Amino acid sequence: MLNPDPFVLGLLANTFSGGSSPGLWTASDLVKILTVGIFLTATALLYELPRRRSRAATTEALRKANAGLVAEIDTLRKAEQKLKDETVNLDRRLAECTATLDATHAELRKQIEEREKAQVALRESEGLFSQAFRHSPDCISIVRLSDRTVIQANEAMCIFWGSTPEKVIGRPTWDYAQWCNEEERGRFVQALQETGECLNHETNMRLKDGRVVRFNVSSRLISINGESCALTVMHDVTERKKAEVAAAQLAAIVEFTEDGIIGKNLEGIVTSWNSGAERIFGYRADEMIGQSILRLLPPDRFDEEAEILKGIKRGESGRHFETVRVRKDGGSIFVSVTVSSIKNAAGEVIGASKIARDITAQKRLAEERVKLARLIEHSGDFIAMADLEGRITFLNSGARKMIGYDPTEDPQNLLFTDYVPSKWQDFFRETVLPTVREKGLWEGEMQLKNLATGALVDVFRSTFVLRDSTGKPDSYATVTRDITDRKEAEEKINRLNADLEKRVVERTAQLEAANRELEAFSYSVSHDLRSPLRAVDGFSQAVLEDFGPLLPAEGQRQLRTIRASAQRMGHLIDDLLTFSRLSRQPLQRQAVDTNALVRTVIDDLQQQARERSITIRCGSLAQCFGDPALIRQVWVNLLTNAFKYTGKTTDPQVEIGSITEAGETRYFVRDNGIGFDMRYAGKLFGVFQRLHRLEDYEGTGVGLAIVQRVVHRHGGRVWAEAKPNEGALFQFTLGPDTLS
Amino acid sequence: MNSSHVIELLLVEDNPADLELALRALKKVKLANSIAVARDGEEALDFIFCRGAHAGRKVTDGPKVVLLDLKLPKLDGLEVLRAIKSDPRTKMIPVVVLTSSKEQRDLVESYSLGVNSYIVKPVNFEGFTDAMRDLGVYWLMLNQAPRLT
Repeated sequence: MLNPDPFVLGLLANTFSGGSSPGLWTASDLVKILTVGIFLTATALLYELPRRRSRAATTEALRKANAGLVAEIDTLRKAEQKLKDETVNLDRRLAECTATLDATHAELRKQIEEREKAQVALRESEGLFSQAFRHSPDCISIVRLSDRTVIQANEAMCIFWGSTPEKVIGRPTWDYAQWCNEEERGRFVQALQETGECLNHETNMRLKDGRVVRFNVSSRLISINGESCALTVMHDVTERKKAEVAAAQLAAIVEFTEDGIIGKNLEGIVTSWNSGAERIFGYRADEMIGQSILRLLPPDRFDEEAEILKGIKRGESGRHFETVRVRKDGGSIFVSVTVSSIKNAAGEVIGASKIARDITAQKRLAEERVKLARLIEHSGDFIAMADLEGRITFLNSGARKMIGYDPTEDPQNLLFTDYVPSKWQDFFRETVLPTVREKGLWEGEMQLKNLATGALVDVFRSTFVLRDSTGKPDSYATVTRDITDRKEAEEKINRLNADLEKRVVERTAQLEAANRELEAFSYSVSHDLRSPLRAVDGFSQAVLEDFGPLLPAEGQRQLRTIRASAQRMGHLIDDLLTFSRLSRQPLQRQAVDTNALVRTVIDDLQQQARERSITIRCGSLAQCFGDPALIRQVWVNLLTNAFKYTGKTTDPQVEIGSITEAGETRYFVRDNGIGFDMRYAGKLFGVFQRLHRLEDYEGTGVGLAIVQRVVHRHGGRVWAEAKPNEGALFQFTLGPDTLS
Repeated sequence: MNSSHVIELLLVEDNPADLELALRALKKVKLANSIAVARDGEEALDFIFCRGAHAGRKVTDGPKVVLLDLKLPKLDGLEVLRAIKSDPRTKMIPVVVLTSSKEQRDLVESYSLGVNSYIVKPVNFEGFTDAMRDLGVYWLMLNQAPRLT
């Protein structure tokens, strides 16, 4: 059978068209070829024969033809042999070709089979991807960017959109969901177009049903049929967000709670440390994390931690205890601790949490309370509490002693009226208790009764209401002090006061009488002592005038001495009266312009000593507060002295000034005169005391006594420094209020 | 001016020594001509108000000035002063207190009673004489008193 393969047909066509590839012919092909050849040759011979007879065909011709035939037959024989050889050759080649064709055919068949397999696999794979797209829990959509038309959307997306994948195709996305913030969407799309993708962008979208859902959105720019589309994958992160917020809240609670919350592992190494712990212990988190918890324990309590860790390893939780810990600053604190083990997912204990609360203040308070209770118990005062019905609930030892109550007996049976003496009962019920109830407090003096002896005790009593934490009256409290001694002392003081009063009155009367006598005395001195002196002086003069010529010179001198003495005595009396007057007359204090006052004094003195040439240096003088007339007298006397005692000095100088130091002003007068010996300084300010002879310096010896009297009356002091022949310095103050 | 027997100056002084010295001083300054002397307060008032020994005189013929000591027997100087100054007939007579006392209360009292001048007698006789002269010149010569009618 001929193979219909076109390759073979092509080969045949080549043969017929005279090609030079006979090696590819089959045997039967050659037979046909030969048959055709012989037929064609015979046909040609038969055509030649009629032509020979017609021309008297001849033997010659036949012979010639015969010879030609023989030659042809020989050629044919040769050709046949050649054909036979060729056929063998062709058969061999044919076998070879057939083998080649078979191999090729097998290869092709194999290839076809493989291709078919691949197509099946491809079909299966496409189905898978399609399913993955459709059923992905994430929302996936392909949206044309130009008009926001949905090209594809999966089921998860459509659930949010409230539709189905079939219906959403070709619809705009805004039919189903919109970005809450359109501007944000604009930026997102812009970024997508510029960079080709936008990944993990979180945003809120409003769905058709009005819900707002937070999505994590990732988009990639793809091209479908030459149009820009966004392949978008979104997932709902609302729950995750909520969980994050909840976790953050929990973290904040842990961080900001007053309590210290500490995590540690099974080796006792701190793994977490909140700000409460920081406040309580003073260490910062970075100082404690990674450190042993033993750092917080006083050395004598290290065993405690081993015990705690043992419990934790057993999985114990909620163990609560109070203990002592050490702060960073070294201070000990009392803490209340709750330790719980921490387990991993597999239920294995991996560490412990420790909640610590600083209870130092409570502890101290409790200690204080114990101390206060002891203080109250041992107070010598009566301290008691009673309920609102007056039943005694507490009675300290001082109270028991005061009212003679058995120290061992329970005071529960005692009423607070029991130890009020009968004569005070009405007062207690009608005044004390109502006042306490209305005003919360009654204080005053009353008496209590000693139950053992019946004796009455004078007391100062404070009774007040104690209230509970809501402000409601809870009980009465009383603090009472035995004032027997004070009462007696008061009596004594009253008696003494009365006595003193009487004595003051008597003494005042005596003083007043003395004062009156003194006044009368100086009055009569003023009148009666002066007039004889005047007579002595006057008549001595009369003698000199009337009988002068009759007297010898010595007699005249003696009369003049009598006169001088009388006049001097007149001066003494005048000065003494001035001195006396200064002591008696009341001070008329006022602000005094010392500068002006001293200026007038200097002017007067210079007027009286016009022949003298004294250098006066006067600094600025502080104002003072005193009696201007008396202060003037002080300056007059001091400056008079300065003038007088520089009387024999060459280049006499007087310096005046004031110095204010530490709130006190000191005035001074310095001269370069005769001075005095400091040994006699003590006599300086005495009445009629003189340090110089009358012939040298006249005077009565009262001037400085007056100065001192005035200064003392102003509350000041006066003192002097001097050296003989070098001058004197007088200083005085006028008391602390001179500046006011 | 009145005639020479008219009393121009009444000197009220109990102390004889002071009196003598006063007169001596007045004489020295030529003022001793028409002086009357009273030795106590009562006598002074008798003279002023023309009673007793002076009943014959007229109150309107009063002295030109009265020199009055304060410390006097019977009635003291302040009482005499009060009597003179509280009587409308005599209150215009100038009264000069002439005393040893420098006591403030005497000064205040005298002035409140209407004294015309207050002189403290100096111990020193020259001073005393000077004071008398000044007094006489002033009150008897310079001062113009209203005429008593």
